[in-house]
Amino acid sequence: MPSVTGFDEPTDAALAAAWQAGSEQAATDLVRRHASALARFLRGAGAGPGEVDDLAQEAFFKAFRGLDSWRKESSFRSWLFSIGSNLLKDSYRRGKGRVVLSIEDHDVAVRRDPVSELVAEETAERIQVGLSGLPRLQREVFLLRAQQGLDYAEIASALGTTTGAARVHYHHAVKRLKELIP
Amino acid sequence: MTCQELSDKMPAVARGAAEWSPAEAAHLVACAECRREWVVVGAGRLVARDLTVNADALAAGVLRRLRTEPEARLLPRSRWLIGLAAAAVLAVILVPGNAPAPLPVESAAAPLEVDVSGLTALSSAGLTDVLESFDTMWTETSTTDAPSLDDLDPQELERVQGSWEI
Repeated sequence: MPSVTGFDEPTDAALAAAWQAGSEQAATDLVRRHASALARFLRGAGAGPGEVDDLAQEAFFKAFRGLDSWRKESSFRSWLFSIGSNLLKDSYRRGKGRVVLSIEDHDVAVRRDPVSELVAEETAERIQVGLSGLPRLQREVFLLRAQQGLDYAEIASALGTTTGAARVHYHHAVKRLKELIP
Repeated sequence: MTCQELSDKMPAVARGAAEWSPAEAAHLVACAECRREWVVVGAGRLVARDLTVNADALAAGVLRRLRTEPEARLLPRSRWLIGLAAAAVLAVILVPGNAPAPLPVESAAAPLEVDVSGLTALSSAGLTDVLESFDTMWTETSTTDAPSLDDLDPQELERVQGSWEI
């Protein structure tokens, strides 16, 4: 992953190897690199505000303890999301989570095209509420694609499904969420 | 230009990793369904956008746990199954003393001759087969209602497993 300074930053695989060789700094760097994305995914997928930190910590803990099971054909981040997704699933089973999210972002994400003005805060609120009503896989696939920008292969790897199924879940999610758009 | 092609490209454009071509932008203006999807994808990108994470504190917490929590708490499935198989052996051996008539010497001694040293080399499927063979063995050698692993609560199972890992 090239940096803005022109120096090559270590890859996730290199950091993981360094951690396994005993470098705690490497583990810290991996957390810094992925914590925000993981937390946003967990929150968007239904983790309560007080749960996100605990779930994120547990996900990283399990990741570092289980690095040997990380198959390098998937990115570290998508593997981390798979751990987070499983933790969320356990959380749902225990009757936790599933909160309705609110959004306080006054910014608009899509200012790069002719219809960007259509996106408003009210719409985003509606989408977030709609997300909480989707089946888990639809919600998580949608988030990994729209929020995290993962491709279908990465999503399939993260959620333990196929690329075809991930695509179907995504389109079902979008179809449901489109109904919320006036 | 199809709606599917636009759909596939939307997340990348929303993230600033790609741009619409003039033809795509024109399609977006003309197609109400694509416009609605574009709004959805744009809003999806905003989800939890304001969430702040103290990554350094998170890392410190993770490292503290990694230093202090014993690795044995996260047993791989295969090791857990080995423990379960060991528990099965003990369950066979440590039959409650209320069994009625003693079994013939040949039959009673049979379970004690099970060699568990090779269990570590077995796959999960192999271990499952071993477990099932224990059930079969018990059924064949006992005339009582045999206690099964189901009769052990999780704490008992864990104790038995622990005794085999020492």
